[in-house]
Amino acid sequence: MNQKLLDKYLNHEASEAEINQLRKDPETSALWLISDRAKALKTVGFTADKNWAVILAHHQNSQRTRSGEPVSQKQHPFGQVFHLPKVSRPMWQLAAVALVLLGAYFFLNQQTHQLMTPNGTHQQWTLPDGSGISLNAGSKAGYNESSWSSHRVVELQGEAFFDVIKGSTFEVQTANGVVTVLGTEFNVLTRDDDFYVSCFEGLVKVQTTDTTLQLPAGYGVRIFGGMFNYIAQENMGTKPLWMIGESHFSTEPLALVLDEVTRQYDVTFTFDSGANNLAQSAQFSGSFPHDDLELTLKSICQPFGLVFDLEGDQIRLTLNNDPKDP
Amino acid sequence: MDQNVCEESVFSRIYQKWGQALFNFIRYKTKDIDQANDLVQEAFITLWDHCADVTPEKAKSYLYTVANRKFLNQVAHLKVVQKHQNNSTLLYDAQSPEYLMQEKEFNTKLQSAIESLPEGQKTAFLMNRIDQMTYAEIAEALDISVKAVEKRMHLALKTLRAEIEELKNR
Repeated sequence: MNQKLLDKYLNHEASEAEINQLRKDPETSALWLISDRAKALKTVGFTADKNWAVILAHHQNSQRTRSGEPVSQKQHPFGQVFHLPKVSRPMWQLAAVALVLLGAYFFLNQQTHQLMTPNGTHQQWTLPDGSGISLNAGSKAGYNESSWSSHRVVELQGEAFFDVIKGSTFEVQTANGVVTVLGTEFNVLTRDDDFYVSCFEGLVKVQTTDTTLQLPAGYGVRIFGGMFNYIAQENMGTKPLWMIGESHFSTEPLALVLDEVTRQYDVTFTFDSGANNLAQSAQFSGSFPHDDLELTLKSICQPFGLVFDLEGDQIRLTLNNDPKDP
Repeated sequence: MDQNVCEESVFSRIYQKWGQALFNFIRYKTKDIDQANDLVQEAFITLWDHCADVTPEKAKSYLYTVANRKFLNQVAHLKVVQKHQNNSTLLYDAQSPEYLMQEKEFNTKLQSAIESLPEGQKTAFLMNRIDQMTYAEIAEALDISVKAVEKRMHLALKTLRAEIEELKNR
C-alpha cells in the first residue's frame, strides 16, 4: 500500500492528482474516504469570549497585586480619582501602602457593588472572575469588586443561583448562615427564617450558628422555623425551577407561597379574616408558573376554598362561605 | 521576530489562534464541556503568568503541555462530575462539502467508531482531521516523535476501516 502517499495527504501536502490516485486505488480508497469524511466533524461548546474575559480579568488582577510596580492608570482600581506623583522607589512603595490603607477605608462602601431585583424581575450578572449570579425576584446581593480576586464574597438577601468558576474560596454570606465553595453550581434561598441551600454541581459547605455540613450535588438542606431538613433531590436538573419559569413548594405554609407570588408578579394581596387565618395555618404542595397569574391564583386558591378578586395588581382573597366572615 | 508574549496584543493573537484547538484537544478526552473551557482558561492564565519565559514560537506546545498536565491532575485527584453524559464529543458540520456529499448512515457509523478509538489514536487523528495539524505539529504539541504520530494515525485508520467494513457487512 502506498503509505507514503497517504501520509502526504494526511499532512495536507498532496496534490490533486495524488489525491485522485488515493481515491482510485482499491487499497487506499477506503482509508481516503474515512479521512476525507472525518474532516466534516467538529466540536461544540467552546465559549471563546467568556474564557477570554476570565483570562484577562485574572491577568489584570495579578498585575495590580505585583509589589512596587507602578500600575498604568487605566488598570488602577481607583481610576481617575487621584494621580500618584513620581518619587523614588522605596518612597513610592511606602506612599502606595499608606494610600491603599486610607483608600480602603474611605472607598470601601463605594467599591461595593449592589445588585438588586425588584418584584417581578429576574436578572443575571457576571462577577469579576466570570462566575455567574442569577437573582430571583425581590432579592439583593453585594460584593466588593476591588478585593474580588483574593476574597470572593457575596452578601445575599433573598434567593440566587450561583455558577462559580474554580478559583479561590467563594463565600455567600447571609443572615441565616454562610455558604462556601471552591467552584460549583448551587442555589441559596435566605428569607426571614427560611434558609434553603441546594447543590447542583460540585460540593458546597453550609455553616449556620450551630451547624456545619457539606452538600454534594443533588442534595439540599433546608432550615425553616427551627426545623432542619436534609433533602435528596432526584431529577434536580441543572438549574433550579425558579430559573426555568416555575416556583415549586413542598408542604409549605400558604403565606410563604403567597409571598412568592407577590415577588414574581409584583402584586399585592389583601385578606378578609377567614383568608388571613387560613394563610397562616394551611400548607401548600405544588407549583405555579411565572407567566400566568390567573392560573397561579386558581391553583393556589382552589384547594383551600379561597376566592380571589383580581384588579390590576391588587388581589383580594376571601374565604368561601365562611360563617366567621364579618 | 522580537515579540513579547506578555504584551496583550501578542497574547490575544495567540488565544485567537490556539484557543479553539486547545479546547478541542481537551474535548477529545472528555465529554465535560465546562471542564474543557476551564482548562483552556487555566492554561492561558498560566502562560500569561510565565510569559517572560516563553517565546511566541514555543507558546503553542507550552499551552498543550500545561493543559494536558492539569487535565491528568484533575482525573487523578478529583471526582469529575459528568454533566453532559449523553452528549457525544463530535458533531458533523452540516455546511461542510464533505458532509453534504454523504450518506448519513456512513457518517453516523464513522462518528461513533471515532469516539470509540483509544485515546492516543483518537486525539492524534482528530487533531489532524479537525484542527488541520500536520504530523510535526501534533508531535510538538503532544511531545512525542513524528514516527509515533504516524503510527497512531495508521492504527486509527486501520481500526476505523475495520469497524466500517464490519458494519457494512451486517
